[in-house]
Amino acid sequence: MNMLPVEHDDRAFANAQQFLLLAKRFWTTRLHESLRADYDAGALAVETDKPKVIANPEVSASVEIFSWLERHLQRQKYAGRYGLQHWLARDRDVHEAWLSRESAHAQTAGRLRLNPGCPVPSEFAAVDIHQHPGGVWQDPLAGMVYERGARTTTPMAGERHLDLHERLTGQLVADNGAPARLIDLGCGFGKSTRALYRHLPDCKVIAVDVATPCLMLAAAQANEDQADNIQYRQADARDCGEPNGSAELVTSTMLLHEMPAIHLPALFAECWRVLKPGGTMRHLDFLPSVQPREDAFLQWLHLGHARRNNEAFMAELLTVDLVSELTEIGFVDVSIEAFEEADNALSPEHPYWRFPWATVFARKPV
Amino acid sequence: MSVDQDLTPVGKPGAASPQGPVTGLVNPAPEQTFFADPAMDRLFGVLLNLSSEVFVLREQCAAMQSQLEASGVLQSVPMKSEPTPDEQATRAASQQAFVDHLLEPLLGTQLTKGVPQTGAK
Repeated sequence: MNMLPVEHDDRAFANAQQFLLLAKRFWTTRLHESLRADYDAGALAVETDKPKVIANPEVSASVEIFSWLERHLQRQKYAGRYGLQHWLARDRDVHEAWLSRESAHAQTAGRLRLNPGCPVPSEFAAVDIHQHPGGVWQDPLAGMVYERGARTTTPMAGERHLDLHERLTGQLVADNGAPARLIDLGCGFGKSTRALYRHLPDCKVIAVDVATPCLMLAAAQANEDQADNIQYRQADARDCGEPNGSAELVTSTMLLHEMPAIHLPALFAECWRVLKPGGTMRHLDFLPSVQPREDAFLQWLHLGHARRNNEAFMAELLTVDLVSELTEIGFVDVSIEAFEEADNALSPEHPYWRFPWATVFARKPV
Repeated sequence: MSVDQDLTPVGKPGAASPQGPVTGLVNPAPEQTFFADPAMDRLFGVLLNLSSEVFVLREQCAAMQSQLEASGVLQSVPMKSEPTPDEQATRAASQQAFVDHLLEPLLGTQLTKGVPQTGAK
């Protein structure tokens, strides 16, 4: 029997993370349902982004507990005693050596192109997004920590957490057929990118991000996949380095809300620049206003999530008139729609907390 | 009665305070608060830590019991290399049930039919 202290016991870490996931499921289902029922019954209102208890003082306790738990489950997941940061750092030397080997191999194979001179935007470095200690851009292990954390971001999905990205890939192909060349902006550790290059084997995929740790992990996965149609590049999404009019498709997943709203025009202008005439773009992100059951309660959930999860620019995105911005650049067929990340997720009767997934679509005219 | 959410800005800088024990963050900012009494926020933190430790202990005990049974100390059972899908499903259901039980009080609902409340405490 292994009697090592828990600090060295992988099973203890795995079990503690499992507890946090199961607690998050409780929060996603029963606590959320309880609060929603309070709102629907008129016991809870939301005024200017602040919840207000109308009828039942006990409802205030539910609000407090719901909010506290969201904040602290995430905090424990990353930075607690059994947090992902601590867990992976125990074997730092092993992980860093692996990442270096894989990175070197990926660069030789043309799957990775790093640019050490690529600056990390100051606002990106100023906040530990998602309560991830140190953020995703400096510690060499940050990509691995981020990837582990992302497996349980959607607690109801379980082992099927990758399904969302497969669905998005399917929608991208339905937009405009299978592209010959696509650019995935703000790719992170490649969670969405992997679905793209695997399901579009005849497509050259260029995936761009500023964070070295994430790109190295993404490239390691591409090595394992022996994928020859993907290249990860270190670059700012607003200046991706691709030639003018070179891509049939530009995409991003959860990028728009990770940058200040004032940078969006430059991002969309870059999309315009690299798209071929007739090319399309689709950005997946979070927009409550297009959800089937959009109300003040949903707004409060979302804005509260932004504060509780260290999402510095998530609220700003909601103030942007994306349709106008894109139309002004010259895009046509602009549409913003709710995205069904799982079966029946968009049903008005869907009882559980979910991200307000939505896609922003536009076409560069011929 | 209005319940205001804490609007502490997101970010790293904060008042001088000891270095964080796990993350090494220097001068960590005060944590967001959600309860009318900030002591409740801290108490809940201890509670969450305890719950996590109990879950870990419970799983370790289950693993120890399984090994003791397999080696004949507790009872004789065939040695299995891996849990079957049914055993995995049973274990997963047991874990979720335990966590649901642990957190049930957060719902603030009665388990029995009580006397209708008049407002007096």
